[in-house]
Amino acid sequence: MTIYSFYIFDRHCNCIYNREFTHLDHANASGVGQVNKNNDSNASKLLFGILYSLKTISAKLIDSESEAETAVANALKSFTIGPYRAHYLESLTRLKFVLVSDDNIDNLQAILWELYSVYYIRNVVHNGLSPIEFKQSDDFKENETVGKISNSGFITETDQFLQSLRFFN
Amino acid sequence: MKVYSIYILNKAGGLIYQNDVNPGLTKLTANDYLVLAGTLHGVHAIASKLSINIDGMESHQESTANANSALLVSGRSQDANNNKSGLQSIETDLFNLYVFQTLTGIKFIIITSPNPGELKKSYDSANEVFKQLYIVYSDYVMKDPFYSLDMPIKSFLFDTKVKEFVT
Amino acid sequence: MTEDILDTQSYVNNSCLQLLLQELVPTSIRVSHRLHDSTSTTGASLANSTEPTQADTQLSSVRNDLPGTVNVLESSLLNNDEVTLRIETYGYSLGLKLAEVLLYKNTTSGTKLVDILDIMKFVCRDVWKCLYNKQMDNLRTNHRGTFVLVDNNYKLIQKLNSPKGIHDTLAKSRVYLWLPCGIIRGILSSFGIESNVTAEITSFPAVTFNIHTGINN
Repeated sequence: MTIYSFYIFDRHCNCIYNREFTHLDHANASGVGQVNKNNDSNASKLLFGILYSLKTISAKLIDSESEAETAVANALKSFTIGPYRAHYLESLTRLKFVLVSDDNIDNLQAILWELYSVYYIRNVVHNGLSPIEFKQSDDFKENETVGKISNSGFITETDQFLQSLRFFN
Repeated sequence: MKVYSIYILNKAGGLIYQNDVNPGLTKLTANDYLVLAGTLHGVHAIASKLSINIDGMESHQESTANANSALLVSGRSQDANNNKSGLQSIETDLFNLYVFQTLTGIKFIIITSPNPGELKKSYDSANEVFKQLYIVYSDYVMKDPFYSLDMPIKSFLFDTKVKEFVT
Repeated sequence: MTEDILDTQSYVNNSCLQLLLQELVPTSIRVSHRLHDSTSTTGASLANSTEPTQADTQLSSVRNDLPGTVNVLESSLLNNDEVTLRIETYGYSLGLKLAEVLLYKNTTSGTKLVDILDIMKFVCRDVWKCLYNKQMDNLRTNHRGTFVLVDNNYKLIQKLNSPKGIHDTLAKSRVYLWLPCGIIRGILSSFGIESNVTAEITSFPAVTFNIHTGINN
């Protein structure tokens, strides 16, 4: 059981955080990988496209108003593509958290919720030096840290959290 | 696991069969079902592209090659399901969706009740449904002399047989 | 017997207060920009300030200063005296009032504040307890009017972490520290002690407050 990568998309459809984990069978060191390297890559765009379509389908196939016990729209939890499973959580503020794992992991909703409610809130929202709006006008590209979550607190804490999970490797 | 709905898509992503076998899902208009089928077909294609993007092409091509060589050698496919790199399943709060693709590119899609915590088991039961569905499809659609390929399936016999194994 | 104002205190949400305090430095920078703009008459574009703020409303003349972003901290005025003085003054008047409230409580409990060391202990204990629900971690003095107060985990800057690394975090956190400096100066001032308070970050988030007074103890 393995976790391959972790994405956060904001409500403007931008990928604001991308963490890829390299594992033993791919490289000599475990747990290292890239941070915020593939935010604008095809993979992240394709992933977002799939998420968006499947989210629409999930909400459309079940009418939330006709079912008394579900006041909110039917939420997408995960989907499987080949050997990968993407776990998905969307906050009410329309932040989208995605963890890509292998297809042996059933459910990562609790983990996604913790990433949002503990680590995102603590290191991004409560951090006065981190923006919470990542959309930038096009002329503002002074440095590569703009438009992404790149503060060290968030990166190290989420890395530690994910690597401590028993199914990380 | 209860099967709510069955869809069959032709190679081009056109919806050729749609049957709400058990109540549970919202009734949509005929046009919405076509859009839904088109979207799933598109997502399936994008998903194959994404999985290539993630693992650098190895597994996808390998599996196709394997399947083809198995076909050539034995005249039989090892596994009827050719859906190796595309979208395989969706899990949501209120339903699960499974996709099965034949070697010829036909897609069977079933929507079932969710079975939390029983992922492997639901996979197996979904595969069982697909197997039945494929058999019935071969027997009552492919062997129907009045059926023209890739066109909507309007066979009463097929309908009855499908209902038999899902209820 | 009259009601005790500190015993009838109601609770304030800690997160909300922290977030409000974090707006302190950006607001001060924006005020300075607005003042500069009006003297140089280039601020005409921001003139219709009666409109409600939207997600794309430019908050000041700093480039890309939009709600939810922190670009305003990139302003050249970040370390400007005018900006820091405004923050310090804010803390100063807060300190003056706070001393009054706390002393009212203190006189009923019977503690006597005799010399300057007692007053410093009052700052370390009662004031910090009231503000941050903890005491200062260390108090040192050279007995010639200089005092060093250390808080090993200073709450106001504890959560700050700049995407540009530790140097940037330190530079921006320093501006926030003018608030507690002002508070301490205000407290001392209400005891009739003129002082000069500066703060430095020794190892983040530990903060050392250096207090210079004219009084030999």
